[in-house]
Amino acid sequence: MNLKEIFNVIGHLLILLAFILFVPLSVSLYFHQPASPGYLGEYQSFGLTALLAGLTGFLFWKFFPHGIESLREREGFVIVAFSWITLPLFGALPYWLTGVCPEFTNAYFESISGFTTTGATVLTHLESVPRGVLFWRSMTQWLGGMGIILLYLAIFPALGLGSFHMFRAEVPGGITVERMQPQLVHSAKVLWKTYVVLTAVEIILLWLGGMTLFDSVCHAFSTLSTGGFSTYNDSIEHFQSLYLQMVLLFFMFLAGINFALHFNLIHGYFNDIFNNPELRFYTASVLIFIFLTAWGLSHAHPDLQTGDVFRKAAFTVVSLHTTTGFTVDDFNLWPTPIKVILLGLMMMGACSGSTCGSIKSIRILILLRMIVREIKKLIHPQAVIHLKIGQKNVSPEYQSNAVTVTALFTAVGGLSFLLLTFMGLDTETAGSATFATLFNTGPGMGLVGPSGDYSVIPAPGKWLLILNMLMGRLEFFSIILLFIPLAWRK
Amino acid sequence: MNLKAIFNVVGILLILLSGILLVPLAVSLIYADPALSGHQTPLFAFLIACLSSGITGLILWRLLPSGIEKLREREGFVIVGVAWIIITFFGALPLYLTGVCPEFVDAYFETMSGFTTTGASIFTNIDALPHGILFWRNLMQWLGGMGIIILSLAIFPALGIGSFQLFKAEIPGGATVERMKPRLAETAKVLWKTYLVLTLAEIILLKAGGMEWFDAICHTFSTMATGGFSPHQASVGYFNNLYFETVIMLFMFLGGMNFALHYHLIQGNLKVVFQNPEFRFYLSMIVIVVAITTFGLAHATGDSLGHAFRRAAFNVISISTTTGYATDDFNLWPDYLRILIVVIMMVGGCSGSTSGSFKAIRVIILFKVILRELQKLVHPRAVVRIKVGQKPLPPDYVMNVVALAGLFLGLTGAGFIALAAMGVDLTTALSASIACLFNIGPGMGHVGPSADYAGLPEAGKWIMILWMLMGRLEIFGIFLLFLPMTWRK
Repeated sequence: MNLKEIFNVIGHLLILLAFILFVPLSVSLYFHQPASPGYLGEYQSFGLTALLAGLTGFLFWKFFPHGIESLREREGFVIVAFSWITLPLFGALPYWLTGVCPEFTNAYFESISGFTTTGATVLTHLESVPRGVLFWRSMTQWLGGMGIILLYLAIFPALGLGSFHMFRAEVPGGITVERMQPQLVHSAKVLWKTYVVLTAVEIILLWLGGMTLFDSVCHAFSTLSTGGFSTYNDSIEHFQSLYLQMVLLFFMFLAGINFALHFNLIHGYFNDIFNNPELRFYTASVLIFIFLTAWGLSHAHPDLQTGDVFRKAAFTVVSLHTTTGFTVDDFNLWPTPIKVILLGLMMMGACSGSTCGSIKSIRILILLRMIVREIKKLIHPQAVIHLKIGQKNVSPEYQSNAVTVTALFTAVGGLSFLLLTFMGLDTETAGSATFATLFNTGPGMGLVGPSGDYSVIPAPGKWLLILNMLMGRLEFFSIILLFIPLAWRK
Repeated sequence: MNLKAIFNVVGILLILLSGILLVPLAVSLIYADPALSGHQTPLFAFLIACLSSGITGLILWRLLPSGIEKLREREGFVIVGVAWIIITFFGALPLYLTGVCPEFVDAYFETMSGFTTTGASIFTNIDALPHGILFWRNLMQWLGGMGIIILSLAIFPALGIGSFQLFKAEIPGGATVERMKPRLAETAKVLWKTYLVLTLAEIILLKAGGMEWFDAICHTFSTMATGGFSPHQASVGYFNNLYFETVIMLFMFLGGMNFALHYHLIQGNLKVVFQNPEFRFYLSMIVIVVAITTFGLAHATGDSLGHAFRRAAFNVISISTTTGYATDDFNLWPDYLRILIVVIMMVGGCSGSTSGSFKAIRVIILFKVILRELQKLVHPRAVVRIKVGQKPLPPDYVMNVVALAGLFLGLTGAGFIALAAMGVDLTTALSASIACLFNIGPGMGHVGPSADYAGLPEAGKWIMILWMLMGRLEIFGIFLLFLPMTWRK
């Protein structure tokens, strides 16, 4: 394992982070809110963090000068894992220094939840949190959604060839994501450009609907990254505007689509889009679950109006299917069978190559096809049946990736559930907290439901959930590699 | 699809069943079980069941004479699926006719739970049931444990049911099970002989400890089959006797082992047994979980370690082998232990044993799949073959295991949602779905060890019946029944 390369890349990323931190710094200068007694003021905190990140980055970069042309696969994965542990560490400093989270565990939890676009929060009173910090919260989601390494690749193409492995380790969906462009740097650029354009459009649409500019930027950040941080405790329920909710719903849906398809959309290749099997599966599943949920809800609450039922069902289903985690209603109070279905939705997630977390539709599709193939083989034992998605054969490599990721989600989920109940949490809270963090959704059920938050979880439980969020976002391999001695041998 | 072959085999099995039904008939004759008001006496009920199954069997067998030597794979699965559904119907007749189950769905549920060795019961007061019925419940488990088709293979090799397809479709563990003998009929014989010897040994040991003949035989039947029906409402906890618990525990453990290993064991081939990777996994899982549970229980209840160990060992082995006996209400254990119990439910015993569930060997294979993926990350160009023990596994086979895992999980979820939609609470719905699909028996909540399945809605019972059957025959076979593709020529 080439440690020098790892530190070199992290150095680069920290310098990038230092520059990015000037954005929330200017926001806090603009709003200029007073500091809480005994803590640093907002802009001092951001300034200090930027300084620390910049300095550390500079040192790493200077002391470990090393080209990363020749990165091997495993090194790509390890670099991604390390940077995702280190950057949120610096990202957590503003929460801690300003006293928004007096405990460092909480600050790190909030920061990881941001970068991994989970949206699980430990803050009980969002309205009293200073503006700059709120902005930073949403912005970490935006950075983490498309990936900060990808951003770096898009801005500084000089990192070179070996970076393909980092791309693969960071983009949600891993190897199942196709490269759109022969050159990786180009792919990174296209992805980030599309992301920025969509964000800008959403900001304008929200602003036109009467949201303040600050709120529209924050919400656009956490919509497109399918993160789910809001600036209000009651999330989207705060905005009693159908227009705003529909704009958010629409962009959540878009964020759940493979960004390569958006690129096609912009270029007018509609055929590619409508024939994409994953998108069709995702759309069908969203529609089916909206109807199912609406039916269940109207059954349980006959007094609600049909329009209202549909609004709540559609928003919640899309929000959980894309693993965003915005809420317009406390689904913790919905009938149990619907809650079970909602948990299932969290597991499936949206498309690969989108910003969403979880297993991803393409893997579910592959698994379903594998089952169908086995049944066909029973009928025709001698037949050689290729596994196809759309027109393309799915290589055994993809198949075993789909199987492994799903199996790991199940196994890690079970283990985390077990450990949380061991710490004394009730089964509903423990189970849903595991789901909500591992699948990067955010709000769970029980104590961590939409009207609660994660501050009730004991500290070791929080560290476990932090690990869940990281493993969910990076789809396990990077994080697991860190713990395997084999990976560290020369 | 060769319909004649199907009915021919079903005919033979029904004749066999009618012969077997004479045993509980004799038991109810000995105990002179009285009739419930307005219903048949058990004696008469068994007679009707015996005659109707015998006559139907004869008709099917005589009218549809067909060679089944050349069965195709799918026909093997379909025959086994259809045979199990029909045999369960005739097996349910005595329960329905005597009025112990006034609703047919309950009788069918109980019978299916018996034949599939699940052990889920809808009876609220088992001790009050007539002896003949109690005996029949446990005999069904014993028959279903090793498989009634394999029994007929062992008894009537000449009937020409000698098809490997049938064997493969019925034995727990499917294609993972090795053939011990070159000839199938001999393999079936060895399996049933081993089963019989172990059964006799357990009966004698229980009797020697002072259990009555009736109880000893009934408990032995459901121990060896890893079924879990007990003639007492309080299950094995009724006796509160350390010796009985130890004997039953030992035989549950044996019942969860591959019967091919018993064969080696009897021949003194200890090395083969302890080098078997599946057995090692099975043994170490039980040891670890028993240890955790012992400390957990001692910590939670303030019990002495010895007492906690007794409770932990019995209940963990009972769940791990998918038997479902209880000496303690694990529904009342701390939450994390309850989850641990659910996890070991989903692993189960070894392939080729009488236990249900996913089977240890498949769990090992899934682990290896994950491990291979990680190895590939470190050495991208390496060709890594999945091995269990010394043997590399064919990729086809690995895919089959994966698909089965997906189906088990998917069906667990589907059963969970279906029951929850009928208004069953979450814990009960999830654990009932798991306990039936994985052939365990008692779940948690309202279907826990101290409760029963009587409270489920009728539609829910039918789903659970299907789940038990799918779990026992490892899903694919039953799926085939519902595909139009299967029935095409």
